[in-house]
Amino acid sequence: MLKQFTNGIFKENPVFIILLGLCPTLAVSTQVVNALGMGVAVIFVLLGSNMFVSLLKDFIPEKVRIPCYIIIIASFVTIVDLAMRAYAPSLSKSLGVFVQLIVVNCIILGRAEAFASKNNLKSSVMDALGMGVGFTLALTLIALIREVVGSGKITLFAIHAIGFNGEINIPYLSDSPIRMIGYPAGALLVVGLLKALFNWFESRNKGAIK
Amino acid sequence: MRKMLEYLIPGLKLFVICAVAAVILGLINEVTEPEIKKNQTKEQEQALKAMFTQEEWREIPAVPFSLSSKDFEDDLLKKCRTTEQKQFLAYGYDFDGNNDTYNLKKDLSLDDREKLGALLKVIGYKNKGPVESYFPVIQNQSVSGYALKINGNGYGGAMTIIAGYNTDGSIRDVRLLDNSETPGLGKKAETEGYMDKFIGTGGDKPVPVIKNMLGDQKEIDAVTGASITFMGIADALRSGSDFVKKIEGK
Amino acid sequence: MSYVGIIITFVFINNFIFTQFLGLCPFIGVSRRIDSAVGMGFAVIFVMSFASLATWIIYNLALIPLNLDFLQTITFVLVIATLVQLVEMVIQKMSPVLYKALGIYLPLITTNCAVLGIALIAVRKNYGALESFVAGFAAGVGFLLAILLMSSIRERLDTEWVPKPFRGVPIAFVTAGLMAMAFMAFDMGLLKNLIG
Repeated sequence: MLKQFTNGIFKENPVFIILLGLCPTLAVSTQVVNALGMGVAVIFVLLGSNMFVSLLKDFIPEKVRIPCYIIIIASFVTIVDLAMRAYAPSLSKSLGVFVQLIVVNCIILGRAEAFASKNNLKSSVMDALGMGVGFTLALTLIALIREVVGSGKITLFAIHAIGFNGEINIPYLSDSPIRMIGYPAGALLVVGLLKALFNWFESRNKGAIK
Repeated sequence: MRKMLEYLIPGLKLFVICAVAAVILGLINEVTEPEIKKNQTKEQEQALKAMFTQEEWREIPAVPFSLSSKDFEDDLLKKCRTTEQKQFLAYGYDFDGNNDTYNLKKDLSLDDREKLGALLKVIGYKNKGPVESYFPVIQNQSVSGYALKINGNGYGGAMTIIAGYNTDGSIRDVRLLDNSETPGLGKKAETEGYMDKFIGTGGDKPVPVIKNMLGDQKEIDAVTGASITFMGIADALRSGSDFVKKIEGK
Repeated sequence: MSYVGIIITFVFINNFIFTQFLGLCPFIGVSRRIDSAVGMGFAVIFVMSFASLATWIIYNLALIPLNLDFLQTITFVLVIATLVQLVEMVIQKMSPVLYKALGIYLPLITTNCAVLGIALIAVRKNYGALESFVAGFAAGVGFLLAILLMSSIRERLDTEWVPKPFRGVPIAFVTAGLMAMAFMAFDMGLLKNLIG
């Protein structure tokens, strides 16, 4: 059970290992709060879709399975979109079209097809959680780097009750950040460098095992 | 027959899933719709209340002040579906034979203006100017000013501006709402004090629309590097000022 | 916005790959060779133009009048999937050669964020029918431009020495990042200077 969960975080991390779900990754990684928000949304949709695809796997006919998966995924995406617009409007505005674009996020359709349609409910739920958390962690890592280096601050959820407006300023960097990292070009560079780093780790591990 | 069933059954199952999904979403939509509507106007209301101390606001959609008779017939009259609509249009606009134009009546009451705006929305008329709508400020039962919702074009795309005007077209206060300006550059327009350079202009003093029109060097330096944002806001504010003057019939 | 403005915006200023990150999956996957890149690019232009038009029609003539705009996401995706399916069938009938060449790429376009992306953006910007079509077309051209430039560079890269951790995907991303930096030269200032 636990293995299915950690699989999504390390071995088959959707972003860094299989390179799925790229579009939202780069676009929302400008601020940590956006990354977290997107991550939570994706976890919710993944859970819903994996659960229902697994529950209905005998009802869904093979011929039309992809359209069925799409309808199920799109429904959960719509639920998340409506809920966000109603109860978290600033997050909804920051994420913009990318909330609706979760429906074509290859991760979700990929898991539905590759896993949930062939496994029982419990494993599917664990898989969804693992992949979702793995995605969120990867996204947050990229956002952390980009926001700290690119704007010199970290933006989290504001907690008005204690007067925390969500921004944590980093003393030296906030005066002269490397703004390029915060721009789209910077996102591509950061992901390229990170992926190279992961490749290097992997080859070292493989070497160590030998 | 067998072949047909082979296609029919999956098709029906797909339809069932579709139908169930649509129903569930419809329910969720019922629940969230009111909240969403409230959120859309919240920022706007906050801006309005910060500028003027009025509690109740009415939003009047902007309508064209003058149209060529061809445009009036094609874009407005033809789109009306009932005679009442056509009659109200004819009531709100006067025909100018010399110039072959239809002009908005100058002394229309606020109620009539609101009705006209609503009518144009219903028949699907797409507003062409930057000013989207206006909110009259009423003090002692007379209009003492206007707040305008203006669509500007900035560096990163569309910007929504709420600006407060006196009846002579001069600017009282400006708030920049939705925008996609660059953080550190154009986004600075959201900070306190940025709009000070516009306050008071628009009446006798023209709204500064290029850097050189700004008074002192400090202000010019402040917008350097973000001139497109500045010009976008300035253009919008100037259009607003002209709009207010037209409503007041000047 | 004027049509020229829309074209310049979506081909250069808001290039789907270098600025908006829509359509990255096929971009990274298909851009290794020039001929596959070109094939994908043309398929994308075709699908994106007609998808924007089709979704505009569905949205403005069906969803809004019936007060169903919360069904936007579902219907758009289904419309796009259907459109791609139709395009596939038509191409298969009309030109088996072309079908073979494009083969696998067509179904991939369905889950391409770029197609759904332009459809959603056109709605958010309140474009009319023709404007949506032009926007879809321009965004596709922007995609083609990006993928063409990228594949030319990658074909060369494959024959050069690249540090081991960077081989394959990472160097592609870094390259794309550098190109995106170059594309930053295309901004609103350009538009203002060109068409005032």
